[in-house]
Amino acid sequence: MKISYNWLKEFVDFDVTATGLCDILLFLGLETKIVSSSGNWTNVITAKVLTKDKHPQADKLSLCTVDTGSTTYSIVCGAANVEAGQIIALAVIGAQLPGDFVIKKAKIRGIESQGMICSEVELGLAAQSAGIMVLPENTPLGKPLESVLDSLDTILDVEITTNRGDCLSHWGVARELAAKFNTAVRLPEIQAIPFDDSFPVTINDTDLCFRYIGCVIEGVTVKPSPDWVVRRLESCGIRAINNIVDITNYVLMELGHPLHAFDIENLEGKQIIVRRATALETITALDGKKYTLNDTMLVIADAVKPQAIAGVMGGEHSGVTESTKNIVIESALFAPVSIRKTSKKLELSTDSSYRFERGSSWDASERAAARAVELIIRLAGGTLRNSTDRAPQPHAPVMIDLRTAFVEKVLGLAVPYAEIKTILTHLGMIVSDRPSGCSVVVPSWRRDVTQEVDLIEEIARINGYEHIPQTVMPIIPDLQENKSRKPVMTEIYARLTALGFSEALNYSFVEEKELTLFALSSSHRLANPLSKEYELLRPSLLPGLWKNLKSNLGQGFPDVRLYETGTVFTSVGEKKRLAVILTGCVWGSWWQWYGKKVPQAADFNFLSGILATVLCDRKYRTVENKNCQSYFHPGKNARLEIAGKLAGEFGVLRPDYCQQLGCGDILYGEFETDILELPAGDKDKRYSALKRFPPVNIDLSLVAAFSVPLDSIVTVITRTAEQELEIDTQLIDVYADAVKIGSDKISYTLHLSMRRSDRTLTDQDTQKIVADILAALEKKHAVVLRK
Amino acid sequence: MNADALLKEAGDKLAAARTPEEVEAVKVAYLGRKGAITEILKGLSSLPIDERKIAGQQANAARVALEADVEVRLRDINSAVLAGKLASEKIDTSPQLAFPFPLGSRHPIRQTMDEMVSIFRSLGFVVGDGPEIETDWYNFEALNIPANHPARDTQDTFYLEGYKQLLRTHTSPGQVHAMETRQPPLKIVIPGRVYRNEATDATHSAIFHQIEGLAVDTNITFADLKGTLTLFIHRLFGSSVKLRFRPSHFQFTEPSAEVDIQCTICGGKGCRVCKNSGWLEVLGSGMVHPNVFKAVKYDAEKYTGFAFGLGVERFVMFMYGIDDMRLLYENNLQFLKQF
Repeated sequence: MKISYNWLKEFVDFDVTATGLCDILLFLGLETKIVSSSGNWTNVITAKVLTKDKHPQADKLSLCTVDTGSTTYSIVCGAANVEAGQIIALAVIGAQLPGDFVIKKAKIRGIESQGMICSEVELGLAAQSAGIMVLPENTPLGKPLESVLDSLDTILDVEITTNRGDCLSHWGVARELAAKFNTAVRLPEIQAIPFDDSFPVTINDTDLCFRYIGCVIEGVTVKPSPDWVVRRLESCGIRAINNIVDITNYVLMELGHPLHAFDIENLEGKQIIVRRATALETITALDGKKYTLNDTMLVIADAVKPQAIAGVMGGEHSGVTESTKNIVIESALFAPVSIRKTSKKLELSTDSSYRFERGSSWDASERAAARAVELIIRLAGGTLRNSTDRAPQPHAPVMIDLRTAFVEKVLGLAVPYAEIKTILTHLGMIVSDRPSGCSVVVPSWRRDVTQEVDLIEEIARINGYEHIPQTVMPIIPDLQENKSRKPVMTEIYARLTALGFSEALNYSFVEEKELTLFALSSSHRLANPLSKEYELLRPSLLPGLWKNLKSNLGQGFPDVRLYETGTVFTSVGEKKRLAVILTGCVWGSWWQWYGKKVPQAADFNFLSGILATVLCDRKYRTVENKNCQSYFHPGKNARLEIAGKLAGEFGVLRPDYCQQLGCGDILYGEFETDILELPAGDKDKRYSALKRFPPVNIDLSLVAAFSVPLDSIVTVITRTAEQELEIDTQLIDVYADAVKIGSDKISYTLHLSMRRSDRTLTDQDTQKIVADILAALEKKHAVVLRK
Repeated sequence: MNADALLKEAGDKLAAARTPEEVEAVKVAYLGRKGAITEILKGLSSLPIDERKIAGQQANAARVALEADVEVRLRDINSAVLAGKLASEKIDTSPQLAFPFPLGSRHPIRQTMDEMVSIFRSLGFVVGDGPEIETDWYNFEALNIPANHPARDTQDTFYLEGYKQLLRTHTSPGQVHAMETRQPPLKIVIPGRVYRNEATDATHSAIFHQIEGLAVDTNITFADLKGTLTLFIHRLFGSSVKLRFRPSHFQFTEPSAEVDIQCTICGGKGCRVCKNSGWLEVLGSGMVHPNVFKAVKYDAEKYTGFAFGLGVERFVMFMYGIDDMRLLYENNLQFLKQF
């Protein structure tokens, strides 16, 4: 809301600059900025041009002598319009003009100028000007310019929070300042309207209209408003129309209550009926547009049809025009929710609807009507003929009991009762002492104050938040939390980072075609998406990471490793997931310069190794995946299980995806973080005794069918070990040769390290162990020694 | 030659030896299985008794002395070799030659959230969670934002099809969940993702992150709110950063306060980031509104509490001088690797 600094000063006395005022309002909860200001200069004084001569060295310059009444200056002036006899604005040496422009003694084409004759542009008073500013002939000389210009003002933009509809006017802001400055608000003297109930007003829907004041003024002359009205409206960003409309707006900006003026001759039956619209009833409003109404909307109608959309906008038909002679001034109270719904539905927000939505006050409705009537009679002539104040229910003021002890309980600051009383009284509250505090009658404009805490906020606000001390609560750690929640994910993130993964964060929105690509579907669709790209909620982290992979490859990163954690939205609800995606070399690109190794492309086993490191403290199992997501290569993926629960799937994406991006294998895995975080049983973790006897090492080259997973071979070997025996296996070679071992076979060379915990193994022991292993392998999986 | 003469001869040869191998050869020549001194010791038995004793002593003394000389000579040669190595070997220690282990990075938003959460943990807050799909009750009603309240204008909401569910517009519904499931005393922070139906540009994002905080007990005051948030900001930015608390309005707190910190970029002088005000608006906060306590069936006479919420992206942007919010969601490795 734009307000005028000068106008504000009419309501309350203060001695601060506009900048200072912004600070004070900020700490009252009203964020205020200076929009524009005029008069930002020093040492500019009024003076008369005595003589004007041509500059001997320059055709376009003049030499002037100017007189301030006490001193005569000689000035070089470049403006074409300067003439002897004019009264002008003279910036003397040392003057400061807007834009940090300081006037210094200067020689212009060899002749000294003792100052500058200012134009409106130089003074910041206009964007353009034809030459120097010429002041009226009767302007006194030698005065500071700002003292003779009555158009100087600072325009402030005040941001009003939704609860403070009462501050949406000069009076409203002035009330706040008065409370802060410990002074009273000065309101214009307004004569009360002698209501005689002679104008027919009927309120049909008393749930939506609480009061309707209608005042008939006859014999007005509609014409342009006087300058001071126009100027004030303009300073608030309101365009002047005619004196009647301008006065309603003037009162709006002054007292904050929206008014409307009807041409009574265009009201059928010369009466007002406040009612709900009927379905499909239409009205052409003052903006010239036709609106179709429905039966939830309130209208101001005459005997026949709607003449205004209540609280939102008047109708064109009964609007005030140049030929209007007799008018009705409306000042009413409407239900905020209804006005808001209507305004939203019609997509029509006005100064009036904005205020009614935030709540208007009983007090202001009457005050505004009286003020408008008075101004109209003063500025447009006419006589108040009829006036009606219709209210189905009388106003019931809000009363609140305030306990001083509760003030301290909430604020942590003991505010003396006397101070509380002063603050509340200055805010227009009627305060009665009570043993534990006071009883407060809230003024009708403070609709936001309904409870004890609301009063406490007022006390804190006016007293100043800066006076509330700072304390720190005792720190009591939550032992329960530390027990149940090990920072599993934190560890996982750290390991991923160490392994070269960067964390991505993608939007939770995806579009249909991103899902189709991976044969995914979303069960959550937005009703009001920003755009088609953002209409579904992601069921997987893959589409986002895929997009990131693609763009990073495009950016020239051949090796991309990314991970993301976030919520996905599935048919069984929200899930937190961790996903990894990678492509490129294992170490390759980093090593090329080193000349040590041929770059090796990341493959399934690489991802498998990544997971082994990342999940090193999780007891997980990888299991063959019969029904994998269709984006995986069916022969190159696995399930990951923890405690018998499926944590997720990982593997190589189908080759056609790699082809799309023109890169090598793309590895992907997506896991439920809830499952990853399952307790790994570390509470039962016990150290196992070190085996001090030397191991016996032996390498076995085995031949197995392709279909036998290495995991089952190793399991057979380790299970062969009796209690005191321990066998570690390490794969040292993989070999396949159709001719030598057969096309459906594969050979593994395993390095076995065997030892007992109770004694050194003998040759006999070793032979027996190896024989047992080989027997078991042959029996279980038809695995034999390579010849 | 007698043992003494041999010792002297061996001593000369040792002095001439230049390598450990040459020293070893000298040792073998005199003390080896067929060495000259060994031979004397071997031949002692053939000498007459009286000569045997003297010759024996002489030869043994020569052996011990020579062994010691060999040791010394070896040590000297080894240290000379080492000194030579140390003097001659020199590598380039430029960091560019360091073995390039792959290193990833944690997203700046998450790093910042982690840091903030850990500060609150150290102040005794626990970490909570809440769903991103919410109902009107948790996102608005229970937070004292009734239907058709103008306060809803500031939170453009995404609804799911059917308009029965919505994407939370703030992390504040987490407060309601926390209070519904726990009894005071309660100190909790809820970090999370929130959604606003507004077009994405350099300073706006339809998706962003917030951290919500809530403390409820029988004796929590506005002074505690000020103290706690001041401590938080000081831990995050250093204790010289100034804060100011100013009145504001949130439906679910009363009194409400907006927290500004002195601009960390310009130190309060005024710059582009703080729009020349010298201050950055970073936190919304206030004392929990009694209507919220009523909604979660807490006794509003007995308990008081404070709540706050902050937008993480805003912090990230001025902490790292990021001028376009969209960079945070582009996931360009050039960007991510900087953190």
